[in-house]
Amino acid sequence: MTITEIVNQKGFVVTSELTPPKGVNCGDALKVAESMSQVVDAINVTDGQMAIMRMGSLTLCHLLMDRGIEPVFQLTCRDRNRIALQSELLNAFVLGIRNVLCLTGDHVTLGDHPDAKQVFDLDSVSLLWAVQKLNEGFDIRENTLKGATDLCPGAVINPNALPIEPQLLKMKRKIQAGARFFQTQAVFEISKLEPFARMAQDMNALLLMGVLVLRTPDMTRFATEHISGVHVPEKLIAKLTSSKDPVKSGIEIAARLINEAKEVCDGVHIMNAGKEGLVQQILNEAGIRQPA
Amino acid sequence: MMLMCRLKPLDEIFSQLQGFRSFLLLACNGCEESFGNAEPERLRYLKAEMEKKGVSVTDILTVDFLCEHLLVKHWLGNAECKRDFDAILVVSCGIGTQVVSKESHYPIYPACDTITMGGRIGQAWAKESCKECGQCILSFTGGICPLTACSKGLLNGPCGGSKDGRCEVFPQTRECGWHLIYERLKVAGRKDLLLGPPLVKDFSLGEPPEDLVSLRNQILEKGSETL
Repeated sequence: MTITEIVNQKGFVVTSELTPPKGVNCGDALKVAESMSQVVDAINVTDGQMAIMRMGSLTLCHLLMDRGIEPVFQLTCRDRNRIALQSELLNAFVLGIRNVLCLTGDHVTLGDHPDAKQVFDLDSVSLLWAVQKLNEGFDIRENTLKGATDLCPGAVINPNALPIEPQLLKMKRKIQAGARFFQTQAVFEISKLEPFARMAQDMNALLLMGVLVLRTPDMTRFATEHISGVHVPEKLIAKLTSSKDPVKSGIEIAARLINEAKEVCDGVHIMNAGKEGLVQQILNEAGIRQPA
Repeated sequence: MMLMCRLKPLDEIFSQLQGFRSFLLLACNGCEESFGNAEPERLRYLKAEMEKKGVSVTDILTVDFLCEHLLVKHWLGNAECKRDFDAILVVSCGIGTQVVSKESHYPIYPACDTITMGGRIGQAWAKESCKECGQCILSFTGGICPLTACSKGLLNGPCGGSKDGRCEVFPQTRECGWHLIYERLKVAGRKDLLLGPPLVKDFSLGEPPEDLVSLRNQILEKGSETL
């Protein structure tokens, strides 16, 4: 089912994410996925996130589908040229994948192969446009396809950027290129979402707020300093530092944000909470899904 | 450095110029007269074609090495005193065009596509500002090339990682190229350019065609005779 169909059916969509293993043993990842799938509507599978070489997104998406779990196939432009990207989109559709999150991709210097050649033949905007072309039955050179795709393209946006206008313009450009849903970078102040929510509403796109689960003060500082586009306000860092049970505080913060998000957007995307059953606890705390 | 460039097709040049009535035609006279593009005859032809389209060319100015900031500052300063044009069409490589863009507050449009570095090591003491891609898009990006100014070389707007106008990848050493482009387009009242259709590079254009390769070889031979 596409993200659009889920929102139409349920009114509010909850997604989470899964990172493929560095290697070929998928057992742990699939266990986490099966447990999360009890409470979320779809699971994103990351594609070489932070430019770290791992098993590909497509394979794990396929394994999720085999288990009846709806995947969101993340596809980045860093490691493939336009031929490989289009080919990968055809592969995904044939395997039954319907949601594709189009990303530019992290710079190679952030990852474990800083000596790699980065491609960026297309970028997030032109990749969205490529999905649109394939959906219309053509490749980006206007060659006719034997069978068109019917993919639901999504994109990301960072409401923490300053100034925000370039991000808003980029969001508009992504919608014009075909984006139907947006997943935001982790947000900790709901007011930052408002201009993006207005844009989504005006242009008939869906907005899913990114929720990063804060677990320890050290991890929180790391996120602010090292994760692209993340900014955790000082008062939240202080709250975690003074808390006797930082994980519990992190769950409360995430649940509060999810409740606030219900007022302004169409869903949430919960990051880094696959292990330890945190997604279930957060959604339970937020009162939107009962534990399995 | 000898950058090989060729005049863009006239239709492409004219499609950029819409909305302006009068131009300064500014040509580079370095790198062997910009591969013939700055020859007086070629510039007169360009002027005549522009005037046929109802665009006036108030002056033709040639400057030796548009990659030299001081020369550009001096000659542009003189030309801009007259204030009789709305925009500048630059006949030069991508480096020259970006130097003019930096030194002038007038809208800048490139007349040429820069294809490759030729061979002679020469005049420009500058940061890499032109990737010699053969498909100059400076008219869409406020005269700042995103291929060199953005660490990922993104063509369709900023990534989400820039902080306070700095690049997320190299915050200590680089400004965010798209932040610079945004600021420049904001001042020029052309933020609409950030919403254009997706730009995709044609990599076949970065390969120099045979006629330019032979011209380069002739120039290099002539140069070695004078040594």
